[in-house]
Amino acid sequence: MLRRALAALCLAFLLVACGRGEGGEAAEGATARLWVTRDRGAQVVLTATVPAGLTVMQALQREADVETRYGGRFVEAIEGVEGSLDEQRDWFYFVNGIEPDVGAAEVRLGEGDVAWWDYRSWGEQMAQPVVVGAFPEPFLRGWGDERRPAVVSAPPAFAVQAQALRRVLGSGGSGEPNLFVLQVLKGAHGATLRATRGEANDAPVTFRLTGSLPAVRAAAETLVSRPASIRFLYEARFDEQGRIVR
Amino acid sequence: MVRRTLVLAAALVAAAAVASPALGLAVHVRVEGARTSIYGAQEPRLSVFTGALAADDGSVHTLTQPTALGALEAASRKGEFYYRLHNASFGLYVDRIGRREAAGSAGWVYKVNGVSPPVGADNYVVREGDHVVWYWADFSSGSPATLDVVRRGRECYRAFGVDDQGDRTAAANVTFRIDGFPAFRPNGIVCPRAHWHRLRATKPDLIRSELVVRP
Repeated sequence: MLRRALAALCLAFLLVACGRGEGGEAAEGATARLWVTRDRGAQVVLTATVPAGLTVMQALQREADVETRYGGRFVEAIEGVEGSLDEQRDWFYFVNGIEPDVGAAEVRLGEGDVAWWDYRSWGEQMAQPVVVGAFPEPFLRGWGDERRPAVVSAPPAFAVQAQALRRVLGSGGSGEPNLFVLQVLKGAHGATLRATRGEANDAPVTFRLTGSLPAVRAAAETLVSRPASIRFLYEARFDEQGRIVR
Repeated sequence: MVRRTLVLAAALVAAAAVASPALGLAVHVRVEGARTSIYGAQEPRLSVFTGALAADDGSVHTLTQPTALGALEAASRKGEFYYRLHNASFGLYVDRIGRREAAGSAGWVYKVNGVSPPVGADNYVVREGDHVVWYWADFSSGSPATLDVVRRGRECYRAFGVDDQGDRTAAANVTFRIDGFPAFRPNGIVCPRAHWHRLRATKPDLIRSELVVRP
């Protein structure tokens, strides 16, 4: 376990250079968002609007009290909340809901991007390649400048919901599409929204909303009309009426 | 609950009052329940309804064009069966026909000419002579195929399964019902003896075919 943690630390400052790190030109007045949470989004530490063009690290340092290590590349503590190897808890970050495998000082925020820091236990699961809490950002912005097309895959029972989701996720883009799947699960009560993606930072994401037929319909309605209701969640659970279950 | 029912009843009355007469466009309509045909086993032609409809929250929606939903409304009027239109924030869908309400892994969907359209029924504009089938489907193991019966030669009938895209494959292990009597055919072909009148194909987990009447 110790070795895995060290590997993660190394990753944070060994890897350099990525599409976003270069350039960094942002339009005058363009902004990005910063979220800082704890325990997989259960507790919100702060949210702020920051100028676009900053790195994820700079955005954080601008709004919060931050202690860094390894030449300012690794976040040790935010607002006094300190990572711990013994307790297997640390600060991790997402860009538009996607966890990059590069350091936060290497990633520059474009207009509208969401930089999200979360303090979590990594004992059970180290990597969290994509989470649902920034929906619909993984589809609208994702990682890098290339926008991918969105494909909504659903049985005819969800034709209306799929149509509405297509409107939210928009059209256009190039390359392998991001996927949003609506699926009925036999014997399910309520619905669950989970997200996965391949290993590369720019790999397409797959969101899967599964559950009973009425719950998936109602949850899709919640996502379309109030996407912010799943904000900060790693995965979302809904009851039969489409309400978030915490 | 009582209040909601009253509101719904009032809305339905209001909808009936402002309903415009049909424009003359007619389609074939069938409504298949889980265990029995609710309306139009032989897919009769009906004038498609256009006009105002009330949803479950009392909101009123006007169908200006002949749609798959208008076909259901026409069948509901003709066949005197109840259905419920759910008003979601982004669109309408049918969540109940007769006694069955979408629950678990099953609900109501529709096909036009064997194909499941990727849009809501109020947005699907039908054309003269289209075949509109509403049916109760269980999606726990994917979308169930609908059965179709095609005449083969002079005396025989073959059953096909039709998927959501409208692609047809010969169905095996079909139980035909000939004047109500079951006839199991592993090869999906039946050649009924003389004096039969009514035939349809059934298979567990698939949607029963239309009722074929002896020509």
